[in-house]
Amino acid sequence: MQETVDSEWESFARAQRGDGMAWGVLVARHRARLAALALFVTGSAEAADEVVQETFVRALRARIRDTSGTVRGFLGTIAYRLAVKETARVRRNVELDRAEHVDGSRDALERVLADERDRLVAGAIAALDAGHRDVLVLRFYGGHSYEEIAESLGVPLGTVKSRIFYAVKSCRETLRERGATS
Amino acid sequence: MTHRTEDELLAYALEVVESEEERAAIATHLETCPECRGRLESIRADIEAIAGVRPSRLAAGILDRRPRVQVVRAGLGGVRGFPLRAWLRAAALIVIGLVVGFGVGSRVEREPVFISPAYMEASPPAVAASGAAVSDATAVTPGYYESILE
Ligand SMILES: [Zn+2]
Repeated sequence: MQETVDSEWESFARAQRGDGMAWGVLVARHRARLAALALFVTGSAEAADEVVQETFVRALRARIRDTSGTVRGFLGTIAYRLAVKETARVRRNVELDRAEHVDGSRDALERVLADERDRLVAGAIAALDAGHRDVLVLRFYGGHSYEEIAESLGVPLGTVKSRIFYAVKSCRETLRERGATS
Repeated sequence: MTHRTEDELLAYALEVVESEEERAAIATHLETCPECRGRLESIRADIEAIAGVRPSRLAAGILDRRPRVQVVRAGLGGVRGFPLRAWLRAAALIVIGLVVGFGVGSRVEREPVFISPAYMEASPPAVAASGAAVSDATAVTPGYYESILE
C-alpha cells in the first residue's frame, strides 16, 4: 500500500515537472470524482467546473511537504475547500432565491450527468442538509477517513459516523422510492 | 435464528458499528446466514452507486490543458495569481471539452468505486486502524492547505 502511495506521489511530482503523460494519468484518475464533489457542494455546474480546474492548478503549483497521505485525499481536500469558498462567494454576491437555486441545480445535474441513475443519486445527495452532505461527499468523493472528516469539519467523530449513517440511509430511501436500487 | 436489521447491516457496511463486540457479533452472524449476506451485498451495491457518481461531461477540457508549471522552489511566493489570458484559454478549452464530452459522455466507462477494502474483508477495527498508516487524506500541519488556497 505504501508503495502504491509512493509511486502515486512520484507520478504527481512528474506531472508537476511538466510530464504530459503523468499529467494525463493524474487528471484521468481524479477529474470525475472531484467534479462530483464540487458539483454536490456548489450545486452549480459552472462553479464545479471552475473548482476542478483550479484544484489541479493549485495542486500542481503547490510545494508538497507531506506525502504520507494519498494524492486522492490531497486533491479532495483542495477541491472541497475551494468549493466551500466558491459557494460562500456566490451566496455573498448573489441574492439567491432558494427555490430558484434548487431548480438551477436540477438543471445543472441534467446537463452534466449522462447516466440516469447518477442523476437520481445526485438528486438524493442534493436533498441532504449541508452537514450530512459534506460528510458523505468528503468520505466518498474526497477520499477522507472519518477521523479526517471530524478534524476538517471540527465535529466529534461520533457525529461524523452518525451523519454518514443517516446520509446514506436517506439516499437509499430516496433511491428506493424512485425504484433505482438493486 | 434472528436476522440482523437493515440499520445494523448498513452500520456494518459503513464501518460505524458502535462497539467491537457488536461488530464481531454481526460478522459471526453473517458467516452463517446467507440471507443477511445477501442483504449486505445489496446495501454495498447501493453504497457503490451513492459513491459512484461521475460527471463525465464536467471539466472534461482539463485533460487538454496541461499547465506549464514551474516547480516552486522556496517559499510560496508566486503561487498566487492566474493570469487572465490563462483563464480565457481555459474557458475556451472548457467549451471544447463540453462539446466533446457530450459526444463521448455516454460511452465513458464507469470507474470502479473506491470503497475501503476493510468493508469487504470485515477486518476488526484494530487491524483497519493499523492498516491506515496510509491515511486517505494527507495528514498535514494546519496552514498547509491555507497556503495552497491563499
Ligand atoms: Zn440473518
